[in-house]
Amino acid sequence: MKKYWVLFKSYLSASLEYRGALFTWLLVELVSLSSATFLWLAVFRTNQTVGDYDFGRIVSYYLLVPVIGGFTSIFVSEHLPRKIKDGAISIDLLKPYSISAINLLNQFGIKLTQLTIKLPAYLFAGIFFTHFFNIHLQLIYLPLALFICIFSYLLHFYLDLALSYLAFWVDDTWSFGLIKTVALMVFGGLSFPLDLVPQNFRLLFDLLPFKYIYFYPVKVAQGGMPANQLVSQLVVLLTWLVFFFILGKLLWFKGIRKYGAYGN
Amino acid sequence: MATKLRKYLKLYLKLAKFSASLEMEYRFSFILEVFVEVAFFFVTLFGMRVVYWNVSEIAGWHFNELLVLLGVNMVFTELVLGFVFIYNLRELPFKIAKGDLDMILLKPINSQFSVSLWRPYFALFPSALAGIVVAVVGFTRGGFAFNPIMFLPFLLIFSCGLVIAYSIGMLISTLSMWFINATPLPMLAQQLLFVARNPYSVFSGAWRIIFLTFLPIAFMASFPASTLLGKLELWWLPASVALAVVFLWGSNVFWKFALKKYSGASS
Repeated sequence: MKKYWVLFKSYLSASLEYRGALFTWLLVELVSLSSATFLWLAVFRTNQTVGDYDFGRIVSYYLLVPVIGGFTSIFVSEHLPRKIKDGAISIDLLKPYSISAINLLNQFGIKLTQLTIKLPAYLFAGIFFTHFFNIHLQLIYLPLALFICIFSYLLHFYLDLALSYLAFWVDDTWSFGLIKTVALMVFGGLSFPLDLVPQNFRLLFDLLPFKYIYFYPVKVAQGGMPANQLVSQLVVLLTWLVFFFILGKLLWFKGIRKYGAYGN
Repeated sequence: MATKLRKYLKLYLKLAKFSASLEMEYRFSFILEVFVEVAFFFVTLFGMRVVYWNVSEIAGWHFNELLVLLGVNMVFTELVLGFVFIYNLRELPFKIAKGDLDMILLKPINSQFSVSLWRPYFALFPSALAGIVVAVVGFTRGGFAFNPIMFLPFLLIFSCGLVIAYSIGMLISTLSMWFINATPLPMLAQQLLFVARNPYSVFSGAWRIIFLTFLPIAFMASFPASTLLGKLELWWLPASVALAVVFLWGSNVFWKFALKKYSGASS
């Protein structure tokens, strides 16, 4: 256990080196949030409600997406597939630790740094929106949402890990992260609230695991979800988590048998 | 001046040819890149469709008009990303941090040209076709009358918009001379291109002035699309030219100023 603690500390200090980059990413997110706010402000100039949303609820949705994303976002598929492809993973295979555990620790280190920079900024943005647009943000459900984020984070991690292991068979590894982003934007609720989609499309959205990474925790944080729905969705989330955990293990054991690396 | 322009045009054509042959070496990768780009575009389109499933118009724009706007914005964005951002401005913070900029400064070529236009990224250009298709679909579905005369002012505003977008990208990316670890700075500039896909009329109050003057994203998609839809306002023409000149000049002045502060990072 001690070796993992040492590794975690080293990942944390490495991620702190890039706090300038993290701060710039925060600005990028804030520009994106402003863009969505402008659009919805215009929508609500001529409409009282859209679907089940009034202006306050829609703004809180777009505000909560990056906050929840601060907890549930994972970027394993942006670097692990390349490591597998280039053979750089060989060095990790020789060391006495699990690949999935060190990736989890690495992501956790990045996350802590991200959250230290992000959370105060979003807290400020929340206060700004509350006063400027005269909207009421309910923070009472946030602790419950943060508890669910633990499982959403693990689901995203094991999904991303399974995706990354495809690099044992596929050449164009750079596209993995992008394809996942596209899926999260549409089916995860990153681009729009999924409950604005017409009923006939919703079945497809409900069948896929992506909504449990962003949309579900955001809806829990917003409040108003019936208890039975909350529990049943959590059960589905946990089922997906177990599925991707097993899938990842299977892909790893199959892939590592196929893997070969050489050097001079 | 004309000789210099010819020299750079010749150089650019050679660089473009070289870049194209490099990308074509990995054909499947090229096709996948096109697919990913088009997928991102359709995600945006679907996102807007979701909003329009619930409302009939946004700030005076109906869905078919918005299709024209999104189509124009797609072509615009792909051109700017392909020519300026992907292999050029996005690399600038890394070149500065690693000291690779030293090598660029030693070459007898304009350094701003080298860092911002050296290598085009062709995979984005086929996906611009998707933008044209969507704009045409919007035009047809909406039953808008296409006036060929409007194409000339459209081209002028659209081209000036490209120059403005290039200059803003250059201005923001140049800040990496001071913020060494802020590698996503060009992404911040890129994000503005995505804000530009909103109709200009969604902005209100002081934002209308900001997006018309200091960050003139109105000229990047909204005004060109409105021109195609027959809603041209004559003042857009001189304003777009003036802003393009001012921003291009400003980006050059700022780049030269930043170079004076640059001390090199290589050993």
